[in-house]
Amino acid sequence: MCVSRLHRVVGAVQNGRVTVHDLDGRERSISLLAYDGPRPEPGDWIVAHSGYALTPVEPEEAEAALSELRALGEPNAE
Amino acid sequence: MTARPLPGPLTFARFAYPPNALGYCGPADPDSLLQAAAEGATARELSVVASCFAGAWPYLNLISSSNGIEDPLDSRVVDAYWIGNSLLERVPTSALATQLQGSFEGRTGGDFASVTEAALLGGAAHHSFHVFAVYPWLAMLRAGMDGAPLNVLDQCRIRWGTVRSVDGDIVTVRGRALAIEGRLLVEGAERVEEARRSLDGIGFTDDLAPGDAVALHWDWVCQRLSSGPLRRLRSWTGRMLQVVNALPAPQ
Repeated sequence: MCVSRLHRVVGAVQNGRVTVHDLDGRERSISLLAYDGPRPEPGDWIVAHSGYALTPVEPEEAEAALSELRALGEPNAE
Repeated sequence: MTARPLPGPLTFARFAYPPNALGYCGPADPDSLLQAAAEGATARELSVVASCFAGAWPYLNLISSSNGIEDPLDSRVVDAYWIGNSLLERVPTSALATQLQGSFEGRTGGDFASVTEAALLGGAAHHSFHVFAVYPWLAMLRAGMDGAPLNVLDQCRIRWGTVRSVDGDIVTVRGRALAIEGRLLVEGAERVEEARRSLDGIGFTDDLAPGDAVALHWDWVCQRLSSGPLRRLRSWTGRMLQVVNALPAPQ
């Protein structure tokens, strides 16, 4: 029932995990076990699913997705 | 005498709460959802919450519209999505494929052509189809990644088991874990696992006893299963496994 969602990296990688914010502003630690990309740094955007980071997202791509969500009325896509 | 089914919104909330509590989907306040699902909030309140689950709402809409049922949270529709019932037979696979494309293309983290192919091979608007065919995890598992993919597939499907013991908030359940055999995703070996039936006494299944069959989602027991729902859950899960196992290997 879940879908892949955009997250912003807010902490450094530690023990194979990284701290992120979702679009609701909730902070959580997610696993990098399934991550396919360069080491994420604070400020980077990534797609995560079910507690696992999957892929990096370019800033332009993230901004485009956020614009789309804002247009759909997603209140937290600011 | 047949027990009267729970209202659809309440059943929906009980199955939706576990991934919501883990932060994987749905609205940002799992504590409120737990209270509402345990105590029985109004259908209207729960309906608003249910529509925030972007991964489930399209299926509920599709099942209801395909069966001429106005309310996507009608108890029969919710039962079809989580457990499986004959309403799923009346959802054309072409309609499922179209719905999936409109709702999830670009949001699954994987190759969407295989999702459409799986729908047309006999997919159903059942939660297990979403887990096995729409999620990216089976492809990752088949590509050789250990650990995470099989764990997500196993925990996120609605699985079943038999209660062995009950100790406060925690129950011990015997069931079968998913396994991968070559390219085939199958029901594997028996295992015993611990799951929650409540959090600080707040939960969905008060009077569980050893021998009861239950449905589990992530780390929670969501519902006791009588023989009919248990049979349907096994059957629809098996059918969806057959569908994803019939997908050809990527060239």
